[in-house]
Amino acid sequence: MTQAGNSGILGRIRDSEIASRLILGIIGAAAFILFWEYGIDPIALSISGNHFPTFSQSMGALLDSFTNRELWNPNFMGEHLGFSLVRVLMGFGIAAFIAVPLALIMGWMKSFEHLLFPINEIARPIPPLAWIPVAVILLSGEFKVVFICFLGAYFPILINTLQGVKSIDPLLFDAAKTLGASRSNIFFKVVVPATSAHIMTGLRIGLGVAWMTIVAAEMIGATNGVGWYIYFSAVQQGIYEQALGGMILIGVVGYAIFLLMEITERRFLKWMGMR
Amino acid sequence: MDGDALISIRDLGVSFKKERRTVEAIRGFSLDVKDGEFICVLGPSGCGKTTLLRVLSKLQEATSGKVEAMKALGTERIPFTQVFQDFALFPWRTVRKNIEFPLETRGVPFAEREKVSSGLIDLVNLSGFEDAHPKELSGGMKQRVAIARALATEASVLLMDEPFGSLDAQTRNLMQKELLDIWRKTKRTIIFVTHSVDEAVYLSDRIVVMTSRPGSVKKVFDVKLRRPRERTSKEFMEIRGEVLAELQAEFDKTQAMEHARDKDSSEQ
Repeated sequence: MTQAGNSGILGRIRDSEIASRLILGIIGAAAFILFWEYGIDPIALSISGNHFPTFSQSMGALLDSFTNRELWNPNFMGEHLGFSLVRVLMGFGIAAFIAVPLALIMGWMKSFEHLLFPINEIARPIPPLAWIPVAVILLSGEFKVVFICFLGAYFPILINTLQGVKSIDPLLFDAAKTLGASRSNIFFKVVVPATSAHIMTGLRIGLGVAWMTIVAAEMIGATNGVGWYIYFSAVQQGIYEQALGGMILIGVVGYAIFLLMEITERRFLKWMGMR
Repeated sequence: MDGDALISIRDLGVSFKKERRTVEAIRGFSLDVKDGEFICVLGPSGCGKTTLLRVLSKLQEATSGKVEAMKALGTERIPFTQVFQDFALFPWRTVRKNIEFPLETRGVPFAEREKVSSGLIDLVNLSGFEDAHPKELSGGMKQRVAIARALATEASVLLMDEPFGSLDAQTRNLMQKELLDIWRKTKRTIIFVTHSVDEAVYLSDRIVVMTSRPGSVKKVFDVKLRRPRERTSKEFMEIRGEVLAELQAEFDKTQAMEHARDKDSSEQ
């Protein structure tokens, strides 16, 4: 039952688990930051002869970018972040809208799967970066950017949903049939809800991958966004602490998205009574 | 066919392919089932008991023979429904919603659904658990939900495939008692597959002992004891002994056949 909550011994064990997990996580991150601050620059100097921006320089550049604009940079970082999030969410949304129903139907109808599985499997290993020529020739403006994000999200959603349909306990189909369910009943009342856990996993991974494609996406079709900012700082300006600051932001926001999706997933599955 | 038979199974034969071999599960199975009767089917493992139920509930096709359903069955969309050993509940649905599944597929309006499911929840003694999900329930409670859900169909015949097989002995005895209660109140016909002779004698009007594969009817026992039955009574033990002897003979035959087959294949 659900009473196990946060009281009693179980609750205390869980609390102390969370605490030790948090402390270890902070120690790990602190060790990495220390290494970055004092360790990498000497290494870079001895290998390539270049200076490597320290953590504090990169963080400084990042914080600056939220309050100052450069001549070459008409936006504050907050605005860049907004543009990037909208693009990623659009690509992700379109991918979910196409991949979820497609995978459900592929899993439900053998012939549909046989028709579409090979071409999807061939397209899947091609990294989003490699699709840039297709985006450039086929699309214009914002669509190019959204298309690359779409590709990042599409395959994880498709594959996980398909896997979900295939892992449904066949006994549930037998039960539904003996309870008088029609084919469409079985699809909407068994296949769709039974796959929901896998769909949620696919959405979480898909959104994460879409966010990872943001540099590649904004490199080709944008003049703003966090991805464009990193690309422009590093390649056009050679201001590397700005590029590294942008990387920190992408990492932090990506982790926040992951946590948010995980909480949503857990809530949803609990509400469904499945976990 | 008898005049008062509800369903008549005539010369049923079922074969299917399994790992590129054809398995003949049932051959020449015939049985008349009366309206409101409680029938238990016993037989050695692999004798086609489960296959028989799958054919009746249309999960599997018969190869030959026929199943005839009489007048009362004609108008229903599904004359048979099934209760499985592993419950087969929908984990994302609450107790109430599981029970309402067949009502939804039949297009019963919302208010009516709620009324029917409330009645069934009472019938199977699950009041207070309407909004629980299956994972929160014990095995016995899960099977009550499955029985209530099967009763929510209009099917007049309940097929039960070792429904209490995964329950502990005490829960099992309790569930047998409650099932008889439900059966008496709902006047359904029940065909109940089990491995337990004790269970069969306790529950049924008639016990069908099947031959080993390919399964057919070996012998039918009438159990004329009054209910509630006393498991330790002399009459109970007598019938139990007779059925056991019949089953043991069939079991020995299966063993001998398997032994011969093993010897056969080891000599090749």
